[in-house]
Amino acid sequence: MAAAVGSTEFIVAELVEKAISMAWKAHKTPEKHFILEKNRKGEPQQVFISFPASGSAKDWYSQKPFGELPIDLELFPSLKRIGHNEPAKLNEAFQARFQAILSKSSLETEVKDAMDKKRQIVFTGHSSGSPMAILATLRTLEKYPTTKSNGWVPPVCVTFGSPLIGNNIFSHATRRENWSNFFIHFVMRYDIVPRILLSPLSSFDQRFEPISQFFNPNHKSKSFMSESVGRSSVSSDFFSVVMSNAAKVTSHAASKLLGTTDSAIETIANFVPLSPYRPFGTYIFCTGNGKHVVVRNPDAVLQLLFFSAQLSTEAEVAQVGYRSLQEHRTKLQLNLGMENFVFLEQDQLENLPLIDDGSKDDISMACNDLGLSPRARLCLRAAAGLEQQRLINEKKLKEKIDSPEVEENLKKVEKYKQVMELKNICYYDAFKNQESSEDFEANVKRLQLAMLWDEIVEKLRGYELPDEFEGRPEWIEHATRFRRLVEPLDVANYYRHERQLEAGTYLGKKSGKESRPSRYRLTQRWFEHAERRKMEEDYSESCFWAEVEDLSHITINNVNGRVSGSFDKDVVNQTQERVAKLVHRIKVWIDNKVVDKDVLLEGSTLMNWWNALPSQYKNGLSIKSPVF
Amino acid sequence: MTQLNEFSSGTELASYVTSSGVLSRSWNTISSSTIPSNKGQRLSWKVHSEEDSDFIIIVFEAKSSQVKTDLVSSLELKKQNKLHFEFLCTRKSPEFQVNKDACHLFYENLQRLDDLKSHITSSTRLIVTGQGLGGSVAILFTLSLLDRTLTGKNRPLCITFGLPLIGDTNLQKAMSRSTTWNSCFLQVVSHKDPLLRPFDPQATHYMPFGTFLFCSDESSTCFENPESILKILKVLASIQGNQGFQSADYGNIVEKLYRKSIYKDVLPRGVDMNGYSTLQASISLQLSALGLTPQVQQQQHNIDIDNLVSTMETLEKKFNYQKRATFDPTKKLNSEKVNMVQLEWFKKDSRNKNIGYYDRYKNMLSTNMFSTSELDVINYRKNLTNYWEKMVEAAELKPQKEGAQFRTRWLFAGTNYRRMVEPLEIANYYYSNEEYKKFGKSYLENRPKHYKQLEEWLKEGIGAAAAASNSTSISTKNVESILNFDSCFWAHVEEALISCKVVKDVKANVLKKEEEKKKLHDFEDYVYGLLKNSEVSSDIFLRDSSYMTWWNEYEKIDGAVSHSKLGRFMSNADNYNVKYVKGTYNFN
Repeated sequence: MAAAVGSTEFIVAELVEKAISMAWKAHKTPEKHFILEKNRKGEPQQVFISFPASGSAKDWYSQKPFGELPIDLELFPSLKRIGHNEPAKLNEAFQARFQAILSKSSLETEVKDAMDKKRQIVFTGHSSGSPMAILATLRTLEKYPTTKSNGWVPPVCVTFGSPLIGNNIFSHATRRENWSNFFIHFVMRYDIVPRILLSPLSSFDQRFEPISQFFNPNHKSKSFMSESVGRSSVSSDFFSVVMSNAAKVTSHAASKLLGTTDSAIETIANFVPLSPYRPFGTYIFCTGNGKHVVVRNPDAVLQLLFFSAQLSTEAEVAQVGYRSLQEHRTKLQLNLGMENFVFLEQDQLENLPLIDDGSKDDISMACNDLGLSPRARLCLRAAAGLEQQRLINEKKLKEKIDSPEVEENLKKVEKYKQVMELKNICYYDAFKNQESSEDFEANVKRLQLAMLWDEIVEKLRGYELPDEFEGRPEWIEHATRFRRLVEPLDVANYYRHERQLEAGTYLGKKSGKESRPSRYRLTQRWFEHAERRKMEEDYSESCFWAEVEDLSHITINNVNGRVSGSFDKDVVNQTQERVAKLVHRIKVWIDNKVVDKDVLLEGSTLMNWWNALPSQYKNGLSIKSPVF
Repeated sequence: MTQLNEFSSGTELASYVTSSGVLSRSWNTISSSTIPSNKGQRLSWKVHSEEDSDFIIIVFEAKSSQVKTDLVSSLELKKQNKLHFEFLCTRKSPEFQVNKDACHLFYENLQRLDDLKSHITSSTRLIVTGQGLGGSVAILFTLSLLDRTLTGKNRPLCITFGLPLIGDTNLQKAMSRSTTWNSCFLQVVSHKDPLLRPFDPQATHYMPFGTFLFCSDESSTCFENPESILKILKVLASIQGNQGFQSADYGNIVEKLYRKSIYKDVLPRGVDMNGYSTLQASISLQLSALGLTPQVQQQQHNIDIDNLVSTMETLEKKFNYQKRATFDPTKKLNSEKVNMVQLEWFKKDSRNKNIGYYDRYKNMLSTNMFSTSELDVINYRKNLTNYWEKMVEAAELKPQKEGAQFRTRWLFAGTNYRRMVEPLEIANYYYSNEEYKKFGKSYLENRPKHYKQLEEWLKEGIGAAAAASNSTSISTKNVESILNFDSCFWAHVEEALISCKVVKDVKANVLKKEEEKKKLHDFEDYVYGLLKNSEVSSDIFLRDSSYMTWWNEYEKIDGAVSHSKLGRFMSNADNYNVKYVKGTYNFN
């Protein structure tokens, strides 16, 4: 059985029912980090791990206004934008609690045991137990990447009434890794909890104390999930406050979905702190009359979180305020059977009817069940439209990169490299000298190829490509071929024009601007991420020439410096280290065939530097020209 | 990012504004009687900072609630030495008109307002607000703050209630030049506001700018396109004109809209969106938020809603199109680089053929003989010139501070372009230009504007850094590969060649000859200065170059050159072929 939710296959009912009972059961022992049960009947056999809720709503905020911080990339290396190396943001309180669970409990051993036995782990939780289930799932996905050969079964995460936990990059990264389908979030239409973190901590003043404690299993007043709390009159105020804040965040996001050109929105945002939290994974909205609406587009989910709880009349507020707490505490009644599930996938969202025209089809009924106004439907269409546009953008780029012109340009540069090698010149040096018409031709090809890659990088920067883009093998492959072949020419061009005198070294940072073009910086990170390698901090196989140029500048200066008596010992030590590292890495690269031996041709910048390098720097190392 | 289906975002933007709380904070400060007020001439203002916020609110109140529509020209203000808004003008658009009353109020209280402004630093986060004429002054005050570099966080936000009449189309155009300027203005207008009256029925000279939040009793919506705003103002004014203008209680409206943000709008009867595009549907929602529905149409026969929807649709489409079509130099940068590389190669290839690229191009033009690759050079030159003409124009249209940043960014590429391409322009001028053949004026008198401007960029204060780095790198620059620093060098050579002709012409007038001799002396000094600073490429010494031709002519005319500095330098080929290149010639 595939655990992933798809429009044709669906999670097994027993799994969800078991998860429901486990999720609520965990609350009874809030002192335990988690509870675990095995299900030997499943195929594969399953292990259920459930986490209790913890603390009051106020404890979910580590600080004002929203308590988020960059995620710990040691624990979750994939949760970032790869190219820009920008970590996702995560709720600090949830991350801290998860780290405590990892260090104080047997969770990791239990997970290892289950994975070793090829069991499927179902992480689950209700209320503030859910974030722990989510993080445990992510940690497991990071640690046990499933391949055809290892036989590991990916875990699933089923949450009920989960608060939001991460920002848009959190969602972006999980989609890129194709993990969204492993996360299933059940949300009752009016449940307040999934909306709470859209409000700043300052919204929760003293009058909301009882409601805040409603979420706290450890509280002595026994108000945890108590029905009586919901009956108090503050519950409608609480609902209004949370919804006003949700309106703020969702209308801000919707303006962007609808393609606003009005920059006043940014000026106003300077005065109005906006919650960074965004939904991710697969959401299943339970309408309250037995239907379950499945939505995966994160922009659409955010809009639904607001619009599905929007009120029709002022009279509704007291009743809905009560309901918003009741729906959170009550155990979910799942209506099994495919006929009760409505999928709002890309297609359905794009063609959503704008008004209720009395149609009785599933989609129209689902929209009515969720109480969606024409305004809400326009926003959902726009969310789908944006996703469609991203796919179109990618397709257009794909056509360009697969075009004969681009292939020919790459071939020509490859040919250039070969021709130069036959002349016993490394193409780096030939290009740097720019003596022949071939060099000039190569320069034109370099710029033509750069045009396309700069366009890709620019689109990526503005989130104008699908979330999956940076993880797609075909793009990584294209990028790596381009980078390894062409970047040496960019480095050569840089030093040919002596740009380092004004703009600093190619790899260095001067006044916050890196000289290395982002078409190489970003694509190198794609490659490293795909290969599950640590990111190179300094230089890679495609730009080590810059290190050669810089080292040669330093060593020449130091030789001259010694003559004038200002010999700098620290520089020598550092330089020795850099030399040793470079020599070692070039060897490895050549052995792995990612760098060709032409770099070692006699007379190359590398060999000239090496041959002139005073022995004090060489430390007994050697580089030899190859014999062809 | 723009998508296939167009929408209008006004409803969502309005929801964001009304739920954000900025309106109630501003209004509460306006209506507060406990915050002390500073009294000025016919104007008072309050400065308030709330406990739980890190920003300041300034409120302006005008004694008079009457709004007159008279305008005053910025040229008039300039005459009176009132220069606070002069920065809004550009060379292309030197004048705009602004509401006279508001302007008077601003200048009557100038000293104290300047004092107030002096307390506002670049880190102050500021909301400026007011109602009616007070709002107009709030806008002027905020405008006067824009004359400094605004980064993302320190933009002031100006929120006005009621309809402040501020300026004409030229002011609106000036505002739209900067993306940040327009974003600072939010104008809240009730559909019943009596201040709408001037828009009914005659057209006025006023043109709105900034974002407008229109509100009815039940709902609200935003517009950004000035044309759309004007249209809505006129429609609302005509309806109110029929019903008699009422007053608008903004305190109540703001409060109500905040509460309403979590409720659904009731879709009025008769609104049928079947068959509507997403843009039409969102416009129709916007109109119904203002009570402009088929129901109103039944009561007011001068309004046709369907018609209004399609008018608005056209306006929005046009506006969006224009916003997207603005020239973005970065997009074309790489293809511009390809053209530069082609010319670089042309230069190199010429040198390999022992001729400077200027002279090769000049010979092509004067003999009218081109190889195909040489014909391409003409196209590269044209492409580059088109690109940079547009670029310079875009920079000149930008407001002063933004323009300066823009120029700094493009300085390196612009200078490179000028030095590479202007010589070709000069060759073109002297050897294939009909106008030159007719009038014989020097290139320097007819030099294309964008080259002049590019050179000014370099000379500007911002060029200081670049100039400094230029001078330090001279010693390391190779005079064989550099471009002449003075991109007009060859025009000076051409003029010197003409002078030689005049001097040698037996029929020429003696006075004229003396004048030309003087010019030649100046040119000699000029060349020597360039050589001394290694600012000229050694290409000029190639055998048949225009420079060498000039020198040979010049040498014959005046025996005195053997005593001149340049004469000494030119007397030995070793000086320019070897020593100049190596940097070993002693110029002193």
